[in-house]
Amino acid sequence: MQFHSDDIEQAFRVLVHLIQRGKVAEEEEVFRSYLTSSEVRSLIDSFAAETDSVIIKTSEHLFLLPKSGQSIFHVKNAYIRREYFGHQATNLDIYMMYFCIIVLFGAFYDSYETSEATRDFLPLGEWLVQIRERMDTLREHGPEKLAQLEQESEWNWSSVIEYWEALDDLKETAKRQDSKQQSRLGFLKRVIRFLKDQDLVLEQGNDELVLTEKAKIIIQRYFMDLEYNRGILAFMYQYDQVKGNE
Amino acid sequence: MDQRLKDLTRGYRERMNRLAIFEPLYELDRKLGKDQRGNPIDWFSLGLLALLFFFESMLTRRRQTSVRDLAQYLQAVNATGPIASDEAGFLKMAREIIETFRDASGKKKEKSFYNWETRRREQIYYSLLEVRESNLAQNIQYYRLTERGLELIFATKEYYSEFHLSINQLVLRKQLEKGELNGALREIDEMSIAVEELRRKMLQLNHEVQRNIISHETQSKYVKMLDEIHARLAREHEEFNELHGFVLETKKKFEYELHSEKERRAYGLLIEIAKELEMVHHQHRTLLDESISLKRKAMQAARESLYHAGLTAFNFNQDITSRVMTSPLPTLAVQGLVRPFLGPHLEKSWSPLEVFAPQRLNKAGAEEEWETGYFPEAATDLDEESFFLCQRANYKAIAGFIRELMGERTLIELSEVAAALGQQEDRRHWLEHRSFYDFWLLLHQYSPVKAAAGNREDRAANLLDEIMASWPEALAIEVQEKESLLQPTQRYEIQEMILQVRMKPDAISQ
Repeated sequence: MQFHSDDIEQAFRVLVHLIQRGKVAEEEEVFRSYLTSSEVRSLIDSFAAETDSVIIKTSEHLFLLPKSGQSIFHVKNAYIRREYFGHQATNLDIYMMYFCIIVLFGAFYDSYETSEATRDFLPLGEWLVQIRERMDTLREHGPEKLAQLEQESEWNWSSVIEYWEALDDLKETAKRQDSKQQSRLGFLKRVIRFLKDQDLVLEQGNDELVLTEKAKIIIQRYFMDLEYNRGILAFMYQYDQVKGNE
Repeated sequence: MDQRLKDLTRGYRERMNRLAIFEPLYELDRKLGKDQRGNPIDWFSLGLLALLFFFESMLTRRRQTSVRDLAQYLQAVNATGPIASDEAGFLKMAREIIETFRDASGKKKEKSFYNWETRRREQIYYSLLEVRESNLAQNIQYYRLTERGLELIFATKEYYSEFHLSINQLVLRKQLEKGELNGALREIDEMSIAVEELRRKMLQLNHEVQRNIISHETQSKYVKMLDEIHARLAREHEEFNELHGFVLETKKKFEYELHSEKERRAYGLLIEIAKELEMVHHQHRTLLDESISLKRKAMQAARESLYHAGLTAFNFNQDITSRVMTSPLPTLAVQGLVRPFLGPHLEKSWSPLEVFAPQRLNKAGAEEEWETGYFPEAATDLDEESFFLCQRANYKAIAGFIRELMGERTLIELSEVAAALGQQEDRRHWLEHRSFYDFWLLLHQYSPVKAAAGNREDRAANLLDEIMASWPEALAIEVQEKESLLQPTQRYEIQEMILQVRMKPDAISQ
């Protein structure tokens, strides 16, 4: 397909916007060029595909989302460690955080009946309980199996479990529970700070969390899209296979 | 089966939906609390009272209603019984009521029932209260009724909420006719809630349209819903217009009868009513606009969904979270799953060439420093397209005016132009505008300005061409400054300048 140089320039402009901020709002001029010109649109879509990302368009926003798996646009681990977990942090902190995030979204979207969230908010305590339940599920695999799996590839679950076990639910001696403390609550507060910076959750007081529109759009437009969902399942399945063959 | 009997179950879900919201009240009724004298508490009616309290605080537009406010109210109405308790006791009651209306676990209320129409089990999710805003520092939440909560309130009166606004309008009119002005004000407050509720409903619809991949059926459902809303808004709009006319008329009638103190007070009230009504009307009108843009968005979303296919059933908790933990998947996979949520990453980089760039010691933001010593930039912000276009139009108008003023002359002073402008009613405001001064500065900066060569690239030159266009027979325009200072308006001060047009030789001979 032949493209006019104007289209390529416009597509590039939109893309730069998206890479810088992750989204473009309806009011911005670049939004219109995506909307009106199918050439620009197909260019941007293929640029995005090249970087393992997808463009999600609603009538108010354009979002650039890194695809599940290994997209180069993803936030670097080193950056997250430095910004949110201090100097001694390891990748373990990050895996623990991802674990918590997955549990968080699971807590909101827990029904086959409706595509909307089944809760209005998530209390911090409830989140802790659900994380603990999931940890228990993991532990049921038994230390031998986990250790064996660890040999095979990057399976760090037993260290994640240990990490979580080592933390108290909260520091009883402390007057205020904040993110600086070495406790599970302190850890969650750090995760919340990260999620807030990513514009995924909001706090509404009384230790309750609500999802932002952005988070809902990602789940309902990306995870629930037949095509992308298949990709996600394939991505997960690939690890099951590794296990099956050996 | 008889057709009539078959139709019996039509809209079963909708009916169930209306019934389900009563459940929290019965849930309250099952509570076994006793007050301090050991008498049982009627939780059911206490619950309704609490709902009415939240409704009232919406009526009075109080944005902040916390559990403490509710407790205080409960204590106040029970000052003389029947419930005997202290402050802490009422606070506990208030908290229990709020928790029943709005589950502390964050889960929506769920009503599961067998749908006889579709012949399967279905769920209805709802909540009656929601957090409107919160004070994070003091950890206080402020609540308000959700749309369903309002529905419950209205269900206790005799009319449907769809006709709420129209009925309000009707009642208001009757009250005005009878001269019950105090009641009228309350009616307007109720109207404003109805409008606000409608706005929330539309906002929610908007969100739903945004974040769902819409199938054809849902799309037609949304469009139908929007059409209904639009028709309703249009109808109400008309009624508002009529009502507004009526209020004005009543006001006029009153104006002739301002004798006693009582009439004067009534008149004051009427003015208040007119004002409030106008406000509600205005809000309502913006909704009408919004409903149109919402419809456009629904269409767009539908078009968008041509590219995608959505899942009918997806449960993040089961399909993703459980899967990860039970298999288990490697930690690396978790990272992969979280990716879509996190935005793109920008690598910060630094170029070694920065070393050769001008290094400034002053702070960022004070960069104008660098350009001083040169003539103050007259044509700033020209990079903005809209500003540039605006400026060009202004200059054209100013140049045209000066040309007219000069007639056959070739010399004119700034002071004369300013004086002439000051005398013209419709142009006097030009003196208040910066463009006028920028105009002179620009000419002075580029003086002498030659006739357009037609190939100038930058925007300042483009402006100059626009000015020169007013003197098609001119060879050049020269502007020179003089000693004296002028102050045409309070805000601006400028040096006196003299503008000279040098004609082309052939133009003079003509």
